[in-house]
Amino acid sequence: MSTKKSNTAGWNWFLQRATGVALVVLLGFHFAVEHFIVGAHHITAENTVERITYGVIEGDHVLGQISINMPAFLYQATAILLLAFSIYHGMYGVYNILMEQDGLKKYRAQLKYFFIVFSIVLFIQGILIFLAFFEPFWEIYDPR
Amino acid sequence: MATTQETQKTETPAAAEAETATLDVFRYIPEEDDKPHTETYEIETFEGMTVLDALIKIRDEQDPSLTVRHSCRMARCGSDALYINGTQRLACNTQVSELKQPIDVEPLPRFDVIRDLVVEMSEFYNRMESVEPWFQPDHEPETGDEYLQSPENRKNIDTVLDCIWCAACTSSCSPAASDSDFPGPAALAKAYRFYKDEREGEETRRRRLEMLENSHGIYRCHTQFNCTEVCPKNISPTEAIMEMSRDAIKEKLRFWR
Amino acid sequence: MSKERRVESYDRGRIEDLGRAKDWAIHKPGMWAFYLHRFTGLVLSFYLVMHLGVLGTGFWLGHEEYTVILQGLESLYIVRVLEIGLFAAFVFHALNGIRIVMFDMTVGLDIQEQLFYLSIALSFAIVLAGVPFFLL
Repeated sequence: MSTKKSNTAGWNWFLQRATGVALVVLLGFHFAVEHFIVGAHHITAENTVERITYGVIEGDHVLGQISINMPAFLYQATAILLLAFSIYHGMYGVYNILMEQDGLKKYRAQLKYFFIVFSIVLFIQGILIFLAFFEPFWEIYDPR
Repeated sequence: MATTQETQKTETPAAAEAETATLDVFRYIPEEDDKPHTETYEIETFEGMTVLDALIKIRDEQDPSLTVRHSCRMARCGSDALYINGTQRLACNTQVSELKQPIDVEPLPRFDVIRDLVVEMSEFYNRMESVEPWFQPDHEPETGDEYLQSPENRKNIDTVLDCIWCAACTSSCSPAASDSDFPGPAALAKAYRFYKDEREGEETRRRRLEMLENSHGIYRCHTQFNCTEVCPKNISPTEAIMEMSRDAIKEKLRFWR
Repeated sequence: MSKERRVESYDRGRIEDLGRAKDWAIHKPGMWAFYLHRFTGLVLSFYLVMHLGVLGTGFWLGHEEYTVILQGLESLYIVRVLEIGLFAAFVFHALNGIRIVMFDMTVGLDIQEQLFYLSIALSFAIVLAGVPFFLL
C-alpha cells in the first residue's frame, strides 16, 4: 500500500454512490416511460421526438391510454443526467473491477486513459442521439 | 462419576462406542511431490475432539510426516487457521463432532503452501505492516509519562483488539486475493484499532485516514462480509472499514461548509 | 499471492482466488450479494454500450431507419425475454445498491443477511409485476 496521496479515490468513490442513488430514480423513470407507459415495441422516431423535444409522454400499453405533459426542460434534464450518470457509474464500476486485478497491474495507466476516452466517446454518442430527436437541431441538420 | 457414565452408556449405546472420523487432508511435501494431493485418514474420536487434536493424532499414530502449524491449542495464538469443510476456521476451535464427514482439511486458500497445511505468511505480515500498526502519538503526554486512554475510548476498540493475526479473514476476502495492494480485512481492522485511539492525536488520525484512503485502500471493500463470518474472535472488519470510509467521506464533504 | 517469498512455496493458482465449484455451494449471503451485484453491474454496463450503439442509428442513419431497426428488434421474442432479464438486473442492482449505500453510512450492518434476502424478495416481486409490460 503506497502512502502516496491520491484523494481523488475518495471523491470518485463518493460519486459512484451518489450517481448510484440518482440512477435508481432516473433509470426507474426511464424504464417506466419506455417500457411501462409507451411499451418498447411502440417506440418510433416520432414519439421519441415528442418526448425529447416537447416532454410529451404518450402511450397505449398495458396500463391503457396514458398521456403525460412534462415540462420539456425537465424531461431533457432527466435524459442528459441519465446519460452522464449511467456512463460514469457503469464505466467507473468496470474500471474498478479491472484495477483490482493484479494481473493487469502493468496496464493501470493505460486502462485509466482508455476508460476516460471511451466514456467521453459514449457521452458524445449519447448527446448526438439526444440531438437527433431534438427538433430545432434536427430540422437544420437532417441529412435528407 | 462411574454411575453417570454407566447411565449414559445405557441411554445412548451408539455414542458410547468408539466413534471414528474420516479426514481428507491436503498433502504437499516439496521434496517429494510435484503436485499436492489429498490423503484420507480414519481416526478414533473422543468427546470434545477438535480438528487440531485429530491432526495431531494422525501425526502421532499414522503419518509422522504430516505438518501442521500450531502452538497454544486454545484459539489464542492464531497459528492454526485452516480451510476446514470450505470455511476458514481455527483447527483448535472446531469440534470434529460438528462437522460433516469426511472432513476436508486444507491450508488457507489464496496463500502459497510451504508444506502440507503450512502456508507462507510473509505476504500477510507485509499487509499488516502497510497500515503502520504501532502507536504514533503526535504530542507529549498531557499528564505524567504515560498516555492515558479513557475507558469510553477504549470501548471502541474492545473487539478489534482481540485480533490474533490468524489470516482467516484475509484468506476469505476476494478483493484481497485479486489485489495485492489492498491491505485486506485484518490489516484494516488493525488500522481501525489505531484510528480510533484518541491518544494519538488529531494530526495522526488525519494522516492515518489519508493513508488508508488511497485508491487501493478502504474503498476496495465490497462488503462481502466473508471476513466477519469467518473471524474466530467475532471481530467485524467490515464494520470497521465502513466506519473509516464513512468518516473519510464526511471529512471531504466538510470542505463545502 | 506475492512474488517475493522468503522460502520456496507452492502457488495453488488462480482457482484459489476465484473459489472452486464445491466451495460455491457454501458461500454466505454476503458473498452471493457481491457476486450478483458484480454480475448485474457488468450486464448493465455492457447493455449501456450496446444501447447507445443501437440508438445511435437515429443520428447516423436517420429517423426512418431508427424506427425500422427498433421495431425489428422488438419483434424478436428473444429480445423481449432478454429485456426482462435486463429489468431484473436493474432492479436487483438498484435494491442491493441501496443496501450497500446503507452499509457505507454504517446502517444495517448487523442485519446484512436479512437485507440481502429482502432485496432478492423485492426484486422477484417487482420483476414479476413487470413481466406483462415486456411480453404483451
